[in-house]
Amino acid sequence: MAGSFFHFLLLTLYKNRFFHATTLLMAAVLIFLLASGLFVVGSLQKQTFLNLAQQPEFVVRKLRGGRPVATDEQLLYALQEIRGVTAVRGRVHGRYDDPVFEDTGFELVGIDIFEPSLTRTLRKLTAREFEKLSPDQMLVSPAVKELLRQNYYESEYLFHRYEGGTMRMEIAGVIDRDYALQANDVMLLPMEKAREVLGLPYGTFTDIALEVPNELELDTIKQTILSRYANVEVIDKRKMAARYQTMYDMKSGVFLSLFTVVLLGFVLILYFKYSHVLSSAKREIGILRSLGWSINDLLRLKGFETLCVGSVAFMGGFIAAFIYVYGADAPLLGRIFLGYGELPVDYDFKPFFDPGLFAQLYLLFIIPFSAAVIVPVWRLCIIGAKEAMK
Amino acid sequence: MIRVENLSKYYGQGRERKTVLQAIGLHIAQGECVVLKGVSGSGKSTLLSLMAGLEKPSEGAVYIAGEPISKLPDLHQSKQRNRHIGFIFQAYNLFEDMSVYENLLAPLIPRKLPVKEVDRAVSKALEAANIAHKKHTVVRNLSGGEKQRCAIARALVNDPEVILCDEPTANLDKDNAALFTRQLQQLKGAGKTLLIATHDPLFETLSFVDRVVTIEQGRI
Ligand SMILES: Nc1ncnc2c1ncn2[C@@H]1O[C@H](COP(=O)(O)OP(=O)(O)O)[C@@H](O)[C@H]1O
Ligand SMILES: [Mg+2]
Repeated sequence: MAGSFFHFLLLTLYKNRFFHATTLLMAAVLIFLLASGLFVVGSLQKQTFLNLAQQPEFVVRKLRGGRPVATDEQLLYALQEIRGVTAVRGRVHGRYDDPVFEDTGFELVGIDIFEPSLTRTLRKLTAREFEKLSPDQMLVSPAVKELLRQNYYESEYLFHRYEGGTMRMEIAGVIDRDYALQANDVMLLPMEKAREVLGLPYGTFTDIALEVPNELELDTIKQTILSRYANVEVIDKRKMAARYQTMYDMKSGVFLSLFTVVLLGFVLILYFKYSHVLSSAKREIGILRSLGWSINDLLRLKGFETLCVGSVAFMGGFIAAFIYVYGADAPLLGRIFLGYGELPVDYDFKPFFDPGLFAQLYLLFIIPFSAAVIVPVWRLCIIGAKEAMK
Repeated sequence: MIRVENLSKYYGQGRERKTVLQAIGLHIAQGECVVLKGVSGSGKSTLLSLMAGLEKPSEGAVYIAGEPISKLPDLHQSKQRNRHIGFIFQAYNLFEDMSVYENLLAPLIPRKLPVKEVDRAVSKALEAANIAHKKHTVVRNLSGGEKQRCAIARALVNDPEVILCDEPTANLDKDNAALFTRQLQQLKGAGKTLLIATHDPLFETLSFVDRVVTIEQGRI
C-alpha cells in the first residue's frame, strides 16, 4: 500500500505545486509573525520577572507636600527595627538631565563602593570582568555608552554638580545587556558622587528598600509603616508586578493587533483552500471516486496532502521566528514591543520555548487548516462521482 | 452478472421533475456483450453511471455480481466498484497532467497491494490495451486513440468482470474505431461482461455482440 499511495500523494502534491506553494508560503508567514510575537512577549515576560525577583519587597519614600524628598538615616534605622524586615538599604538614584543632550536624560544610580557584596553585584551587572570601582569611576548601559561616544565622551564624562561646578567621571565599563531592559539609560556611580550630582545632602537617600522574606507578613508590615510614620509612601513590589504583567501581557494592544492580522490572514487562507478544492480539485475527486476510491481513501489522500503542507509551513514559520527573535534579536518587531524610548533598547532576547504552547499552536493551526480541505472534499464525495466530474 | 430491477431516475423536484429513466429492467449474463443503443439524450449515460454507482437511483436497484451496488454504504460500494467494474468514459476522464503509468496507479491504490503486484497489474493492463510503449508519456501529449487505449488500460488494471463503455467511438476516427472493436473482441474472449452505450451503427454489425438493447426516452 504505502509505496503507491505515497507515490500518488507526491504526484498530486506536485500537480498542484503552485497552489500548495502559495498556501505554504502564506501560512508560514502568518506562523512566523505569530510565533515571533509570542517569543518576544514570552521572553520579555520571563526577563521582567527575573529582574523583578531581585527587587526589594517594599520601597519607602518620604513625602513633603505630597512630593518625594530626601530620606534621612534615622528613618532607615527605625525601619530596620520592624519585625519581619530582614534588610534595609538606602538607595540613591534619580534623573539627571544634561543640557548637551536635548531630550535625553540619564538615570543615575549610586552604589556603595564600600559594601562588601558590591564586587559580586558588579560581576553580575557587567559584561566584562570587573573587580572594584574607584571613587571617580562609573558604569553605564550600552545605550548610554554609545550616546556618550557619539558626543566625544570616549572614556570620561563631565557632570554638572547640583551645587555648581563640574565633576569628571571615568567610564570604567558597560553593564550587561540583560539589565538594560529596565535600565537602558542608567549610569552607575559611587553613592557620594551621585548625591553631589543629584543634590542630596550627605547621609540621605532617595528611598529605602526593605526586604521581607515572609510573604504573610507583607501586609502587616506595610500597615505598621503607614501608621507609624506620617508622610511616607510605601511602594509595593506586588503592585509593580501587576503593572509589568499588563505591560507585556498577551492581551496587550500590540499583541492583540498582531493576533488580529494573523487571524484575518488565516481566514483568508482557509477560504482560499476551501474554494480551491471546490473548483480545481472537484474533477480529480470525481474521477477518483469513479475509480472506486472510498470517501475514506480520498480523505486520507487529501488529509495527508494538507498535513504535509501545513506541517512544513508551521515548522518553517516557527523555526524562522526562532532564528529571527533569538538569533537576530527581533529587529523591527522587538522595537514595537520594547517601545521607542529616548535611547534605543539594545536587548538580547533569551530563548524561551514552551512545548505546551507549541503543541497548542500547532493544533490551533492544523485543525482548521485541514478542515478547510476535508470539509469540501467530503461535500464533493457525497454529491456523487458523476456530479463531481462535470 | 448485471441485474437492473425497476430502475428509475428523476432529476429535479415537483413541477421541475424530469424523468430520465423509467422502470428499467435488464439482465446481462456473465461474459455477455450487450450494446445499449439510443439517440443522444435517451438516458444511456445515466443508466451506465447508475450501474457503476456514480449516482443514486430514484427508484429500483442495480445488482453487480449479486451485490445491490446502488444500496451499499460508501465503503462497500466503492470497493465493489473498484474490483468489479471498469468504466470507459466518453470524455475518458484521465488525469491529463499525469503519465499513463500514473493514471493506471489510481485505481490500484484503494487495494493496498504490494509494489510488485501493482507493477505487474499495470504492465498486464498496458499490454492488453496496446499502450505499453507510451507508459511514461504524459496523457496530455497522447493522441485521441492513445488516450482511449489509456482509458481502456485503466479500466482493465483491476481485472474487473464488468466493463462499461460510454460512447467509445464518438471521438475516434475510422481506423481507431476499428482498432477498438478488435480490442473489445479480445476482452470478450477473455470472458469479460461488456456493456457498450452508443448511437454508432458500427456496433450492430459486429459478430461478437450478443444482444442489442434499444433505449428510447428512458425506456427499454
Ligand atoms: N444531472 C442532471 N440533471 C438534470 N438532467 C440531467 C442530468 N444528467 C442528465 N440529465 C438529462 O438526462 C437526459 C439523459 O441524459 P444522458 O443519460 O446523458 O443521455 P445519453 O447518454 O443517452 O445521451 C438528458 O436529457 C439530460 O439532459
Ligand atoms: Mg451520453
